[in-house]
Amino acid sequence: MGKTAKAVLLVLFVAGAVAALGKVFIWGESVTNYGSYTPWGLWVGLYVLMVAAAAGAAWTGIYVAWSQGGEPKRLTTISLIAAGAFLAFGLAFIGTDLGKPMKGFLIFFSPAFSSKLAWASWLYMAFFVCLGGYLFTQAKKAFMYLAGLAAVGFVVAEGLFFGGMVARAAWNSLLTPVSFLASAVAAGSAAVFTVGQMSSEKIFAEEGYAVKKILMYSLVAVAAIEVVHAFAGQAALLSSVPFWGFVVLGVVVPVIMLMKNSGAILPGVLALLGLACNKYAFVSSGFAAEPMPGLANAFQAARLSLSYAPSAVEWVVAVGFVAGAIWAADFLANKLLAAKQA
Amino acid sequence: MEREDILLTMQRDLAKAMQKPPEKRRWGMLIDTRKCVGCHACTIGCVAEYKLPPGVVYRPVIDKVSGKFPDVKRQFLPRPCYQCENPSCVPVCPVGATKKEADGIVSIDYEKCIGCRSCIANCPYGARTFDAGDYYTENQPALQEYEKAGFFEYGKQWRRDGKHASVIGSARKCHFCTSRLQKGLLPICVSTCIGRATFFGDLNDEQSLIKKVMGAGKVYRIKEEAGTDPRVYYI
Ligand code: SF4
Ligand code: SF4
Repeated sequence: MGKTAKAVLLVLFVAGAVAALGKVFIWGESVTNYGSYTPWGLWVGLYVLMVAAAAGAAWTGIYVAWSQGGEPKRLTTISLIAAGAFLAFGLAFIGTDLGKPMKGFLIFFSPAFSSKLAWASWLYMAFFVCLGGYLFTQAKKAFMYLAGLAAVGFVVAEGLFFGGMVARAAWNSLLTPVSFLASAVAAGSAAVFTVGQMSSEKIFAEEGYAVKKILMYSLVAVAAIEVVHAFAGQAALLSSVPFWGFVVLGVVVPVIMLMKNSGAILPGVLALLGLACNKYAFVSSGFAAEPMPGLANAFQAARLSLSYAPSAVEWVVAVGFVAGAIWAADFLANKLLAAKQA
Repeated sequence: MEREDILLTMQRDLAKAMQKPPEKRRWGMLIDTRKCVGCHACTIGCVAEYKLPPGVVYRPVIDKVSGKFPDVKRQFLPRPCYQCENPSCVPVCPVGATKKEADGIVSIDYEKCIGCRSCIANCPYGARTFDAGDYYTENQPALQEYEKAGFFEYGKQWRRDGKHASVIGSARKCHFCTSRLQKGLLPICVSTCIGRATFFGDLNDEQSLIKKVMGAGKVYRIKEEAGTDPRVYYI
């Protein structure tokens, strides 16, 4: 990827970071549009996507190592760095989304073990510890596998968190954790496909031959699972524009491009965008129906509505953090590879 | 013979229940939809008592129209928090900020709540709302004092005027007026109900008015299939 494109990513990231800091420290919720009957929106959808991409990137890196003799490869390192960057930005999304961002740390010091979200949070930290062990100790192989295990743990915990919500018929299904696992593989391989080629086309060409296939098959698998999911209770998905955006832009187009070997990193970027639409559609579908018929009209006030459209600040942060994850992954991978060569 | 206002009867039942240790009480509510006239006095009484901001409502009254002309039925359904025996909002809270108290009331610790809104997402009745820090009179010449006044919930006084008032950014919901109960007062929605349609008391007390009325009529609960075991009944 050219210098201009990287500069654009950096500018978007800085704009997103400034908007996020403004929300956390100055404006509060006055710049967000979610409310009481649609408590989660764009940021939660992207948090779910980034966490999934982190897990999938780690697994892709492990597969690259495993399929080429078992020792971690250079692309494994790039994948794990991408995983760390995506996870960090995923957590930045949820931190910004909290009603009290500065109290978010309580989840580590005062967790409720009944909550799968608390379990996921501990597993995120375990993942970062393993990533540190992989990058800075000699026990690379052990830490690589441990990081992969932690990633399985947090994706399953999240899938069970959403899938176990009795109040949300659209999510309350065992298909939810299954879909979370499959979309993690797709989002993670898309992240490695994108960041791997940005960082070093040479390394990607030598070690990343399996990534294209993983991406292609996993995208088709996610689409199949989501269609089953839609017919098995998530009917709201079928009438959602973002869902069809995912199917067309995130699956059909990238799969055709991958089959034709065209587009350089574009299939990876499109797959990530499509999966972002998918996660947004998933989150929105949970709030499509009123918990009790007539509730949204029972008392009229701001934020007591079923309709939700992300605010300008929500968009700026969303674009900025996704750009930031890609920029940071590429930047750190380049720095590390350069340090290794020196 | 002149009949006693049911508020006085329930007030006596309440005083009796408060003599017991909390774990021996089981607060419950019964709403007689045949008597509810849809005046929203309970909703507004509650908004005033707790200085509820835009986006936060503890007891809306749902206007339910069912059937087809000419067999159309209109019913008003006040919806407080159901203080479920098995509340689905509790286990999803990642920091244990929401819990079931000894007397069965499901509480929120505003100091602990991080505002993740998981509990809001997992209440089958939409009984939880999010305090986003808004005011009805913001963008007016002056923010009105009554919006910033203190209020009592969970036995403590709270205010929303400080930038970092912990109630802002928290999930909020009906709590059967915990602080009023401690002072021997009925919940505000019970006392403001002009149709006397809301009954409140200790479900463990067979002699209480609420239990007697429940025994006399056919009661039902909303969304029993959710498995939450609500303690608010309708008739
Ligand atoms: S009605 Fe909702 S908020 Fe209230 S206790 Fe039940 S699940 Fe929790
Ligand atoms: S919003 Fe507060 S009370 Fe509700 S789940 Fe999150 S931390 Fe717990």
